[in-house]
Amino acid sequence: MRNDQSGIALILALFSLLFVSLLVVALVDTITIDQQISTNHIKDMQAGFLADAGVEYAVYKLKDDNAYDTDDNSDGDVYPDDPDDYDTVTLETGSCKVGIPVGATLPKTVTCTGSAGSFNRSVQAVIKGSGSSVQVDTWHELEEGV
Amino acid sequence: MKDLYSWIRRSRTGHKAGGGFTTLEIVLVVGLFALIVTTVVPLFKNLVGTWEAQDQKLEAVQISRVGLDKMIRELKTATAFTTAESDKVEFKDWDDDDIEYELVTGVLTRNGDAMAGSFDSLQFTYYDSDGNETTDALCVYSVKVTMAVSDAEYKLSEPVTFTSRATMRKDPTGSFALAITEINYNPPDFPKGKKKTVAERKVEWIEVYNYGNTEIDMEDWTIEDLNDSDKIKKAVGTFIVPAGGYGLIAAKNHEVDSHYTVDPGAARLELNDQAIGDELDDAGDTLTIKDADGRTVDTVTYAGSWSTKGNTIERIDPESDPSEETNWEASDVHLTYTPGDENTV
Repeated sequence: MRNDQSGIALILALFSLLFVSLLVVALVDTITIDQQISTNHIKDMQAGFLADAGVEYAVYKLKDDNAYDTDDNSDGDVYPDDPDDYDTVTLETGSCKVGIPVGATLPKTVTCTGSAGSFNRSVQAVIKGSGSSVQVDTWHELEEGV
Repeated sequence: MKDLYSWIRRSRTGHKAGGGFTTLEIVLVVGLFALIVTTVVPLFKNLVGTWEAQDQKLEAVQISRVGLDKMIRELKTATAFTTAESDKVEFKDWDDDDIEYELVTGVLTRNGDAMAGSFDSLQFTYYDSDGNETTDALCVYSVKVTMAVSDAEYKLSEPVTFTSRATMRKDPTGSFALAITEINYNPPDFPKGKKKTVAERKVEWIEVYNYGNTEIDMEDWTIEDLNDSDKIKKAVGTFIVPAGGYGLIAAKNHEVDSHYTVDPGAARLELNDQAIGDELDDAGDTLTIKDADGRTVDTVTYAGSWSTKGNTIERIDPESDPSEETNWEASDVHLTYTPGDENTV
């Protein structure tokens, strides 16, 4: 009987070590996922702010000149068919692609895609008004980035 | 496992003492526990600490986001900036209330009250109407805000930064309470000799009104239409438009006085060009008045349909949106022309 019990303490100790190790591994896993979630969340927020900044850029440009557009006249394509037909606004956390259609007067529908890392968020806003009196009429987020 | 048992048994046979555990067993077990206590437990604690820090960071990020959101929203409603510093902004909102945002020892404050924290930095960048960075509060049209959420408290290696931008919905009027209140863009055909008529550019005029409490010196101010810009270089007497007073702006060598009766109290101002802009377009034009430093004071975009030939347009309220037709009314100049005097509407 005594022979059968021999080494039981060591076995128990080894199992508890295994248990603690598993716990640590699980925790590391949880924390890693948590970290990814929060990093993604932050990038997403940053992209959202960048998209908003793009709308403000459009308001700024259109206030100055109602006829402003981001169309690149040098090629045959007309906005929004050409990827060059966007203004890129660069800020500290990323950049925003702003598309303003051709037209002499408002309202205009602008599309702004903020990019922070691999995260994109797009908003579409209708800017109305005339002269330097310009407002955002409607605003909505697009499902996919441009 | 079988090998382990036999190994332990073998080691046991070497001992005559009949205790529950062999010495080797006890040494191994104590050693293992020592290993757990010295390495795994601190690691565990460390991980839990990181987890909590992560949580706190996220909370700090959320608070910052709310702070930035509110600030951006308010900046959009600004009507005039009074302070434009890199870590402090002061402006008047839509309701003419003074709003101040500042970073005080890592905490974002609004009118002195703590709103969100903590931040490593808060940076405002200001842009004027031409897209250039500016530090002149009166020129500010758009503001970029960059803030870095402080990581000092949470000991995280990578600080989180947010940037966004706000453009004022209303044009900054600078410090000048001056408005274009009447435009004579489509004057009648005044006869000249038997067959000819007087050129429109000679009898076009703009009336401005000082609705503030201080006099305004309009020397070197600029009048722009869509195609040309001219400066106010000549005045009859003085360039000063008194508080509550009117000014009348006409082109060089104008003949306004031969055809209109101008109120003698109005400041009489002349441009350095033979026409206002490239002559005010009868079909519609954008007229902008800028101060001596190039800041827009008032701007009007009118359509030709707002009035008919021979009539002027008069602004109902000098502080209303100048580009809305409802804020203007056509005036029959033959009967009630009012250059330089209180408007009839």
